Amino acid sequence: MSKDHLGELEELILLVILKLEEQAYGLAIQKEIQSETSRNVTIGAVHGTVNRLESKGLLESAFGGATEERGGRRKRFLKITSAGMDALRQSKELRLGLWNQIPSLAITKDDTL
Amino acid sequence: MSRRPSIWVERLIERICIKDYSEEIIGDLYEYYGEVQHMNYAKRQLLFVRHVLSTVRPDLLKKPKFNPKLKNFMDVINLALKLNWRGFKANKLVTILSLMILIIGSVSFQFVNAWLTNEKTTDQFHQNINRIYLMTAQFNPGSDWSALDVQRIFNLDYSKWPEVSNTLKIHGYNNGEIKISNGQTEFFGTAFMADSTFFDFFDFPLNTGDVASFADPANVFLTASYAEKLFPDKDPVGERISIQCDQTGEYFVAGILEDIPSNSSINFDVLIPRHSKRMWRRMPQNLIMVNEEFDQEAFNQKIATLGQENQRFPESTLGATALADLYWTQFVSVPIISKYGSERYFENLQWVSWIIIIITVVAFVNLQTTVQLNQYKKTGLQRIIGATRRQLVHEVLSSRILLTVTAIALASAVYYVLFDDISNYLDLNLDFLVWPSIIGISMLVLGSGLLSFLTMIYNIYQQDIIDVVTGTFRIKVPQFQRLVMVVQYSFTILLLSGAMIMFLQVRSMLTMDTGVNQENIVSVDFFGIVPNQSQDSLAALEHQRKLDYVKSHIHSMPGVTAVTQGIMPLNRAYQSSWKKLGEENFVLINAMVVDPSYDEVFGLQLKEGRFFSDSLDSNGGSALIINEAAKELLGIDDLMNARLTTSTRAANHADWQIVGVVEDYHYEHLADDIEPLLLVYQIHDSREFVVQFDPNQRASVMSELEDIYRHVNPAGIFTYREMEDLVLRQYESEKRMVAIYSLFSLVAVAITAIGLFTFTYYEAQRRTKEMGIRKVIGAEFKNVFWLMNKTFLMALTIAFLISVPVSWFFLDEWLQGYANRIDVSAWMFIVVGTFIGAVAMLTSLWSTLKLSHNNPVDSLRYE
Repeated sequence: MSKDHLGELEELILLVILKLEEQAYGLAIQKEIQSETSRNVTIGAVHGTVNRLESKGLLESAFGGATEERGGRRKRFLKITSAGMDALRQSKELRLGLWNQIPSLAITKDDTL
Repeated sequence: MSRRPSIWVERLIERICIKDYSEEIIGDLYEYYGEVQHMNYAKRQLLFVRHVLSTVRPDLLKKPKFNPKLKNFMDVINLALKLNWRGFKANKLVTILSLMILIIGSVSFQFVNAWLTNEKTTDQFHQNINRIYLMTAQFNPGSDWSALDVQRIFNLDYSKWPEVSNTLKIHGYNNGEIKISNGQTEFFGTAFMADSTFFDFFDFPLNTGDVASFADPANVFLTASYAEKLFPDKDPVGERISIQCDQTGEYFVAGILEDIPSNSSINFDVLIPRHSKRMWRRMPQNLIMVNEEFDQEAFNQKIATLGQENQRFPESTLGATALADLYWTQFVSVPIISKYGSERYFENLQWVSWIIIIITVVAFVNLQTTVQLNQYKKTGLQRIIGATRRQLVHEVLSSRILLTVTAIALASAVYYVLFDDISNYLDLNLDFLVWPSIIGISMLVLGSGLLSFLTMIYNIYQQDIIDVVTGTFRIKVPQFQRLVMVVQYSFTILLLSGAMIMFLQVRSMLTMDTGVNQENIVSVDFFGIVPNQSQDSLAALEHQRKLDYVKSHIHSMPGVTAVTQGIMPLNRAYQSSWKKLGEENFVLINAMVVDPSYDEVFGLQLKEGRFFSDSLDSNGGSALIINEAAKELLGIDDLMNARLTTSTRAANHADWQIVGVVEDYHYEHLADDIEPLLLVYQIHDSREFVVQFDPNQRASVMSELEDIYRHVNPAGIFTYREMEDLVLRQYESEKRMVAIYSLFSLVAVAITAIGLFTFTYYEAQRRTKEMGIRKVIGAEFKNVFWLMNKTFLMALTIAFLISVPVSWFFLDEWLQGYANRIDVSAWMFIVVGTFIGAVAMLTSLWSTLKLSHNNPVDSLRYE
């Protein structure tokens, strides 16, 4: 269980990678997170998390072509593995399960949830 | 087109990050750098650096090459911590002592440094300070410059001068010259009546309110702590206050200023719009703001003779002096400047800070070297089993970093805790500033750390591995360490003898017979500010009634032995020009106003003639008493026929008759000789009363004085000034010097003692076997003991011989500034030398006694 557990940033990055489809690489993920959640994540944090996810086997990657604005460096495009999809689903189910167990009375009108 | 970020980014990331990752990270950073080009430079760089630094994290870092067991750089740090912890446990004593040296040294340094910085930055927080000039005038070539209302006296039109872009007049009312009331209670305070241009000149930040509202004559601004004093329980803004000085008025509090910082020479509690009254009686100062191209010399030449158009002052000269310089030069004394700096004092403390730096660095480096040399076997072994010199350097580096970081943290904490006490004790009047303090402390600690790092590397490269293997590597007591000890002791002796002689000088000044009674004398200001008769005749009548009340009651009080109205003989003389009738030139002589009972209260001794008396003299009459110095200066032989005239009141009194000569007495700081003095019977009826009383009835006298005060001032707060306190206050700056020197010389003694302690401690370890052998072949306790202590006693003697002449010279120089001084003599240095020697002996005793008493059998088994 603990091995499959996803951190908040990990989950966010996996979702963003899915959203970006073919165009998911470090800086693109960073920008997407910033525009979607207005959270200022550093490039280092994105790479650190991505590499951790890759070593867990939740992501796989392939190098793309080098471009000029990257100083001749290649991009590394990321794709979710089926294990990654499983982890995401599991996390979603876990949350939904918990949400469904909340007695409806506990949610009052003020907690616009 | 995107610009490339600097190349170091690439290098750094390639060096520390895993190779597979570094390419894409650099790529991302390049791309990012191109995208933030539209932002301004500083923001762009800051953002970029933040992203670069964020890549230094365990997930991305390379596996270190040199040890395959370590997974990444975090492990390297963990390992370093572990090794250093072991090192600390093995050398607990030395590590703690090293930390103590660094902490004591850097905290002391920071106190001095904070004060020096505070002085250096005085008034510099006003953006325009270097463009502000004070207008001054000199009435005739020989007289002093003074900061008058030059514009009004000489009828100047500043707007015609192209150099002047703005003007400001300030009337400064000092504590005691103005009363501020919140409706219930009256308080004294310092008030400035300033033009609405005040905030164009000075940048005193506001807590609440708007500087623009100062233009409204109904408003006043208060400083935060004064507002708290006036209105402790409510929001002061909008409250009504009333003032009473030569004018009275009511105002609304419109703004609260932040408390005036400690590095401001200009200090006030209340800021009142000058334009709220048609006139203020106190002489204002004229400040001008000049443009950027201002040339002071040319300007002063241009305006020098402008004042001579005024027919009353045909010999006058005008000039402008930079306000920022005034703090140091004290060129003129003005009420708006509440404190002055002293360059001599500043330099003195700069020396103290250098001595602290030297002693701390030297002691720390020396201690660390001693430890390292004693571990030569350990490092030798490390190298035999394959450690390279580089790895040893890494080890030293990591230990340095840890030690310095710990020292900085602890020292900052100690500084914070001690700040209030020490700055009060030294009377430094400082604000506590967090970052500058940490930076100051870090400078010294990092400097010491770096230097010890370099010497330790040097030692590592000096060490020959063969010597270690064969056991021929010998550490003698290096010459260097003896030298270091001499240096440390020389400076310590210098500081300590300075402290001692300053102390003796101050004590001699405080206990010297000045020729004036000082004990059991208090002065009470019953009237404060007196209404002007021409303006308010009713108030003047009321004042006369109060004066009669005070006079009739104070003289009949039991316990009061003498009463005079006027001032105490303490630095309050004013200068005026006098000459003997018929002579050519005026000379400047100090004068003081007194009444007939003055000699009784202060115990003046008559030499010739008589003192003033109410039956023979009248208040405001033309009789004079002079002191012996004045008699000599004026060349008076025959009292009866000597007549004096003065330039200042020539119209009123054509000639003055000298009726008596008093014995010389000190009325100024004892640094000065007794200057010629004239006493004049001219007592204004608002002057304070000076009361001499019987010490046994002190309490009843005080309470009766308070009763009288209450009767006269129902809303006021009774205060009195004790003469002995005022005398002590004259010597405050000297006492502060003594406090500073004693404290820092004790610091020096402590640091030196710690250094010596470690030295003897290791020396004893190193020579255990040697001493065992010596004992076996017949050496006695005293031989061994002497041998062990010889080194540092020699160093101490040499230091003594070097530093005594040097400090003798400097202290004699310092004492030359005092007309009444003690002589430097040999016994003072003997005391200092004995004290330092005794401390040193005590420090070394623990290690050497143990060793000297050791059973030689144990000593021989050692190692």
